[in-house]
Amino acid sequence: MTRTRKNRPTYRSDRQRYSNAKRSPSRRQTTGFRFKWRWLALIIIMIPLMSYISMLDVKVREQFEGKRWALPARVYARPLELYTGMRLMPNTLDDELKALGFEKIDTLSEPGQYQRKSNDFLINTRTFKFWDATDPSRLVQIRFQSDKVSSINELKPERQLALLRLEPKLIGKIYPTHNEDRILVRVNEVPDLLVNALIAMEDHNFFSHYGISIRGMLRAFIANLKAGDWVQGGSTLTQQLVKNFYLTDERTLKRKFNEATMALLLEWHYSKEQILEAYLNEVFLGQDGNRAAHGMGIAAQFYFNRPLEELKLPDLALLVSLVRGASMYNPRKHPQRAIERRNLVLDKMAEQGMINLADAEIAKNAPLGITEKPFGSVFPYPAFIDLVRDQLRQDYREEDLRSEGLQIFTTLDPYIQKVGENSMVNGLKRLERNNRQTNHLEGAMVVTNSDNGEVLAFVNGKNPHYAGFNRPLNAVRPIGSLVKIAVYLTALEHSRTYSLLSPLDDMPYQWVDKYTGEVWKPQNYDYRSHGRIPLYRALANSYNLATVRLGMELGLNKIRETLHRLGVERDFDVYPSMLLGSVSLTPIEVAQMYQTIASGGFRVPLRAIREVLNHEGKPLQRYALSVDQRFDAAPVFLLNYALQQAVRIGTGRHVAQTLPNNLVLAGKTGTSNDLRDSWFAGFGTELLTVTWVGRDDNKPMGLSGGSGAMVIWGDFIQKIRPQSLPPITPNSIQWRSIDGTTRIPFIVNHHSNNTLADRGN
Amino acid sequence: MKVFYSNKLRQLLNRLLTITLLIAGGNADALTSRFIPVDSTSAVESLLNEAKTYYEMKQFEQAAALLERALRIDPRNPILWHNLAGVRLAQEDWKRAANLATKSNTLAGSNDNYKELRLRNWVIITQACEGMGDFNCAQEARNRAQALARALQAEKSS
Repeated sequence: MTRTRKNRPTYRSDRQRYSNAKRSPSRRQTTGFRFKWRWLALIIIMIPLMSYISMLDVKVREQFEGKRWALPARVYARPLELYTGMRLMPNTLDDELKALGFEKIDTLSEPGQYQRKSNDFLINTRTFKFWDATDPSRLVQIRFQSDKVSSINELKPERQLALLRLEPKLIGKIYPTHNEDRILVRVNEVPDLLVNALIAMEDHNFFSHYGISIRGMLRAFIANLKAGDWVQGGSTLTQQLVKNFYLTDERTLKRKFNEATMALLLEWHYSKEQILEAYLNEVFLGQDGNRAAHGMGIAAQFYFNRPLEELKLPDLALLVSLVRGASMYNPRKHPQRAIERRNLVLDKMAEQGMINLADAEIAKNAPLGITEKPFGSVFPYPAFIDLVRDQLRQDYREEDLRSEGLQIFTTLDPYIQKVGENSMVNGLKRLERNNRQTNHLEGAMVVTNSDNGEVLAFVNGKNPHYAGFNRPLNAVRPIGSLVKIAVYLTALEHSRTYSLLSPLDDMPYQWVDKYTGEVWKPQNYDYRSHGRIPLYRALANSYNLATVRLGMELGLNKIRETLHRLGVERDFDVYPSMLLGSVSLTPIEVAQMYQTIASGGFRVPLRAIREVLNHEGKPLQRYALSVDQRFDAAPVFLLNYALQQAVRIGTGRHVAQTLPNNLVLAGKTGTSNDLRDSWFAGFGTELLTVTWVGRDDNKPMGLSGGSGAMVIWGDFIQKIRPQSLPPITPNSIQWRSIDGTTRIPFIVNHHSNNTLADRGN
Repeated sequence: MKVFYSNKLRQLLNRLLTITLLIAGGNADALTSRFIPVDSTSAVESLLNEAKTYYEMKQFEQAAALLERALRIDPRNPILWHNLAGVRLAQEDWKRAANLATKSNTLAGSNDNYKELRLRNWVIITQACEGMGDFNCAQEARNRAQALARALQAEKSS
């Protein structure tokens, strides 16, 4: 084949020579010869050009079709669920609505607005997609009576609602490595006015050109010349998109050529809607520190803290005005310039008949209406977000967290968090003021739901809003007497041998290490011994000598085993000193340990996340409630009784005096050697709180559990006023009176528990 | 003492137990359905009804999510914990089912109104233990259930 082809020209030239007699063939021959050279030249040029264009074509298609914007993960707080009879202050609801970006207004017209007349609220909620359902937008009336929700009524259609779930507050984002922030929008969901404004301002032949517009360029040139300023750009939206998508910012001929070619290619392959949608999501509209706002979806939140569909004409015009210079027309930095530019957009729209003059005039007189600071650049709960990331890393790759636009629904309760932060910040200040040697104090607080283990608040130190050393998550500190619950629970589990009234010896004790000969001589906090005392008093008053004797009697390995059953996963050395809390744990680990007794003997894994959805709202994962019975309810009930006494008459009595009498709260103080760490773990039927106070450099700071952490907890509880009912008495418990007055619980029926023999221990 | 049953015998025992329970409870519908209604604020009730619908449509995770929402409102309600245990049992998530039923029993305490609920919880635990292949625990749970059933029957006849 090849040979035949090679031969062909020879043959043809022969034939041409043969027919030489006629003129025309001869001319044909010469022109044919010239043609061939031209063709060759053309081919020589076209081959690389075509291959270059096809390379661009591949690039255009590959990137456009494969374009998956890196979307930051969005982290939400718990949604506020309102129901009749719920304890809630009207101001808390007001704060919640403000935080959600609801507009307080006199007459409601659309979602995202509310009206308040003292204790009556009228709210137009927004549609929100949750894991279990999409809650539609509703017009509801909520009434309060003495800090309780007294009724919830929907107005259209008119009916009573049993339950109303508000959308959750966005509390954090996990950004892609390039820090682009983005909320994807669909072209058919964006307001028409936005598209109109964009077309009017940037490219009014968009729907008719093929990617580039010579007329457009000329017009822009003339317009700019007339105005003596850069008022109009010559490139089409498609060209702008190509520039943002594929090209760098350099101004060279090659880039211009690429831009035009790629614009044509893009138009050839894709519809106008697809191109417009890509543009709306790609365009750069603002910068705050590292974070770059790309696309109209995020810009609406960035400037107005509202969803795009709620924006009005002047707001949309403002967004479009930023397309050509987000920093030049930055409305926060240059409000006057921004207004002028916005009004230019409005004029253009009126000029092209997209809006009428009257509307344009009203919009031109409207204020900018932007928020003072960009929403979503600094989130207030860095410590909690750390915890969330920590838990997510067990199931997701870091890059997916940063780029897949996951929606993460967490357990954080912003109200409890706020109260916790206030108690911590003010409490630390007060402690430093009242104790002369006490300074450089720091602290941590973990608040969880007593029954389901959800982390409701996570407070880190004096400056809870600044990211830094995450104390609740990472400060590993000796837990002091907090460990004692393991000793007493081990004893109370042996219900035939021990009861709350079992006499314990609080007498001097010493232990000699048989290998090193070292002598360990523990002391009570008051350096006295108290003789024979009932077991519950030894715990309530946190007597060291009685505890050590009891622990040694039970065996250190048994105590270690109890600690593990309580949920302590960290390894520690088994020494007698562990009975007094030489074991070191983080505040969240302590919370996990106390959770088991707060929930009546069930280990409940602490959870900061409820559900994860993908960016379109499709459910990916649920972190379900699970419980694991580690202890029978009866000994835990006895232990909790002793811990209630600890709050009322024991180590916590000074703080307890400030608390309302009807609150049934249990708790334990903890103090490490030389007053380096001050702990308090307190719980009722609703909340479990672990508080730590100490110094980052681990120096003594002069506060015990009762004089430091517990004071902060007391303040927190007073403000929150949790519901705290007496614990449910298990079947096998009977109350008996001693001294004719005090009633003490006993385990009487050792069999009638809820634990199966082979599952319990 | 460990007792091992063959599959057939186990099925027979199960059937017997169920029949005993039906007689004891006197309410066939209530016992075959894992869902029991709750007397509580209407918020909890509406969530429970929704959960029931999902449960019947075999959308168990949805049902569980709704029950967990109800539990956030009323965390010490043993009926909610019982129903969640029932959902997990239907998903053959045996361990979780048994633990949730135990939690429900703990919250039911010695309250006489919850005798039937406790009986139902022990039935769930029996089935969950069988599901896990732990026949020892199944036997013990069955004994508890039968003891409660006898007590209920005696109460009714007196």
